[in-house]
Amino acid sequence: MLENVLRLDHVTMQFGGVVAVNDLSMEVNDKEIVALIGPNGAGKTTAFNCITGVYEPTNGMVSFMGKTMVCNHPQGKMKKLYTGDLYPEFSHVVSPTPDQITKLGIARTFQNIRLFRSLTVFDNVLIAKHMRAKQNVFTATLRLNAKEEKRMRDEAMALLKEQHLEHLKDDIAGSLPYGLQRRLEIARALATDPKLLLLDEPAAGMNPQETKELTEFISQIRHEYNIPILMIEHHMDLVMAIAERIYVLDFGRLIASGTAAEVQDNPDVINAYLGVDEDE
Amino acid sequence: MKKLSKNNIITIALIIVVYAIVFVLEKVIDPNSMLFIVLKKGAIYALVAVSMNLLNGFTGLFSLGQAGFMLIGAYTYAIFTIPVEYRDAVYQYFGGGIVQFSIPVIPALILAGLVAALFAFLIGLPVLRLKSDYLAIATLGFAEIIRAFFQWDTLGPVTNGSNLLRKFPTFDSTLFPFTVAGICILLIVLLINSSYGRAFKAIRDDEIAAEAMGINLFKHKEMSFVISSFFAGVGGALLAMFQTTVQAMAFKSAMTYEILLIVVIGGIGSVTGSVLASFLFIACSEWWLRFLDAETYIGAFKVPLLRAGFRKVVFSIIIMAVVLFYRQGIMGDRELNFDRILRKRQKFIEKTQRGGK
Amino acid sequence: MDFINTNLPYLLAGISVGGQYALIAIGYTMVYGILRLINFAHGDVFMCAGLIMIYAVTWMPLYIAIPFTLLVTVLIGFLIERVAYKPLRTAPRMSVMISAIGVSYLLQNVALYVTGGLAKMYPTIPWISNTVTIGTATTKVVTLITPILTLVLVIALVTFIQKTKIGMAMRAVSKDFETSQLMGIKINNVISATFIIGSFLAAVGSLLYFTNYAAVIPTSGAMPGLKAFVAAVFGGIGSIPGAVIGAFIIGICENIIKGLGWTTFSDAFTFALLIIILIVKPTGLFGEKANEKV
Repeated sequence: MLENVLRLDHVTMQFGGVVAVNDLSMEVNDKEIVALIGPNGAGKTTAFNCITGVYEPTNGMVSFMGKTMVCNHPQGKMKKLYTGDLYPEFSHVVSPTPDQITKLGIARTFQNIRLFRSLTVFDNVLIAKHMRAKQNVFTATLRLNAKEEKRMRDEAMALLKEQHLEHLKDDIAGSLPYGLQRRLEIARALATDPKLLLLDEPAAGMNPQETKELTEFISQIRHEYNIPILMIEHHMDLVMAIAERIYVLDFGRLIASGTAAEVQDNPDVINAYLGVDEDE
Repeated sequence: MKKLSKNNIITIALIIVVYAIVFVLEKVIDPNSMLFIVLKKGAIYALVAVSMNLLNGFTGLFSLGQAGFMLIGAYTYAIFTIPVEYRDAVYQYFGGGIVQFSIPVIPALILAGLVAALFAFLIGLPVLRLKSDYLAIATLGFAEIIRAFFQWDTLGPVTNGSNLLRKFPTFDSTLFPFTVAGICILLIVLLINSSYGRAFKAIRDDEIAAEAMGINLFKHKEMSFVISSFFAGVGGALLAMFQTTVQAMAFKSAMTYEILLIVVIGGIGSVTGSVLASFLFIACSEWWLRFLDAETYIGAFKVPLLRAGFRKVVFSIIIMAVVLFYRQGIMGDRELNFDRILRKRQKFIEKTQRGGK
Repeated sequence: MDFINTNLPYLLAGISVGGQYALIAIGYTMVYGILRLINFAHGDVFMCAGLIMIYAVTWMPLYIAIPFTLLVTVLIGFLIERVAYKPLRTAPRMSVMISAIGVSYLLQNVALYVTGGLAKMYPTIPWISNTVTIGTATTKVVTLITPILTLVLVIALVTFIQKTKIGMAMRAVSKDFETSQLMGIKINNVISATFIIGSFLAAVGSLLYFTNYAAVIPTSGAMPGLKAFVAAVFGGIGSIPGAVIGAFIIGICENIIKGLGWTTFSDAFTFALLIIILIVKPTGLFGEKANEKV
């Protein structure tokens, strides 16, 4: 079994003169819950976007399951060092697009929930099955492969049941209450059969009770699906309760990392983050 | 096998009834009646509107190239079906043209779609990377470029330059456009309800989320664009048959706008809406509002405003009213669903009964 | 020198048409800058200005007819915005664009009704319709006036936008619609002002344009409108100098292509240019880039 599921080496993301993520190195190990925290504008979501292919990092390397996905030369600008010799099966995927990355096994949710709002709950989950379906547009249109369609539907239905959402399956996603929309977004991400789950502020806008439920929900996911989770979160209760390791970003830089206790005692973190947080 | 739902059974029955009515009407009513013109043109526009809806309503791509792809379809059909003996007469300025064979109607219709689809594929490579209104204007631009090319004298041996193409096989029976358009629309509906259709709708709702679900945006947009253009091409070929002549001049952006307005009136994202709206649109513009164009006297009193062109003014005001105040169109983004209608009726009955007590 | 001599008429015509496109393009670019709307009806407003002039001169002397035309066109532009776009302020962008297409359809059909489908001859405006000879080319005075008048109007407009309060409000709104609303800018006034300026310039453009073309038909506005829009995109939509430069480039290229005997492609060329610029540099020559936040 591979130790590192996800690994970032010296990842830097620059927009013009702004360095949103600066020389970030981190890793997520198997079956681990890791939290990425930091004040607003610290570059957490940008780091997520570098991992999921929304942005191509200016510098640095991102590897997943021991395979390099993106590798830009640490000094030269956008110079790709990566060669196909090391991982021939990935030779075509240099800086893959978000859909390719999802197919490789990284699923994500978004800070500002992005559901397919006009579709039903069931269709939202079913869409995740599309990318792996053995079909083409002709067989799908002419219903030549009904078995495949049935398999997709069964899998999606099973997942809805596991997530206790099956009673809502015909509801329009956009009409669900906020908390359920979050749940559905996570369920939809799980439907892509991920090997790593990224959650971008899953508890945003939730009250303490909902946050508590979510905490249980997340640790449940880790056990049921046996996958590591990397999450961005502001709710310290949630982070302290379930994250095995924490990375702290401030102004794009990694200022601390370690277990909850280690990070809590770190003076830099207290200055940059926790000190501010208490005032909130 | 899948069991048919009540809704599907009613829908299929209704479609059969519609075809049967058309069949009977053709036996009993004068074939030159306005009704048949409306039905024929309505069916053709229904196909083109549904194909546009696939793109604009279901994939969220605001494309205004429909007239261009119809033009390609119409020309392809005409070029390959004009009987060899008429070619000298049709291509009188181009020595009979260079295509010296003709193919049967059905293969020609399919070819019309394929050629339109091929053009769409090539055009899609650059333009589908553009966003919303830039895409609209780029597709509009391509439609104009296509029109210019088909009028180019150098291509005259193939396209007959800016002259008419004529004498190709046409249809008499209303059932012909009904059948062809019906099959095409059925295929589009099957596509929309397939896994690919779901992917299109996902892209429409949220591109970024769709990509995060592993959907290759470009591939699916291109697919929707090519398929939509295929059916626009077939629709163009049918329109050529209906009009009995083809000239590039006629396929202006105004034609695309008309089709877009049909889609809007029917409801963006509703196939049944587009179909209903097509027949309504054509019936209003060609038939029912005709009286507005005629100078009318009631006794000695001349009804004001009524004269040639007034019909179109009234018509465009109606359209504006729909666009502004009835933005959902006839169907919104729903389909004609008999389960729902029956349920509603049930509820209504219950309500009135309760109200009665 | 030979090239210039043979092409001088086309070059002059190009500069002239370019100026006329520029006057229309400003309306497109300003509306897009503020509402993010391709105002498909703008070309038809331009056509209406032509028709109004034709009917106006039959009722009144020319020196009243011209201001009257300008005034009525401005009123039409203002009303279109109030009736067809304002109610859709919160609607998706596609709805507003469809409404614009609907207005375009309506204006063309009204024009068709009013004219009875006949091409209407444009009145001769004294002096600017006179012919002059420059080198090898014989042309109308309007050809020479157009670029000058265009530049004067553009400079006036840019000064207006830079120096006045409403101009500042326009710049603010085009940068950020919502925030400027929060800052107390009366957004509807700013939008109305934009439409008034755009329609006014289109009306001036129509006086110059139709003097050269003699007849107005209901679809007269469609092509110049689309080309002016392409010019606006080419220059970077939202940028006034960009629209003007784009319009001159398109006007000149188009006429040189006509001069080379490729008249069929003079329209297609414009669109080819549009597509190339959209693919190579979608923001145009002077446009700004906008990123979507994930």
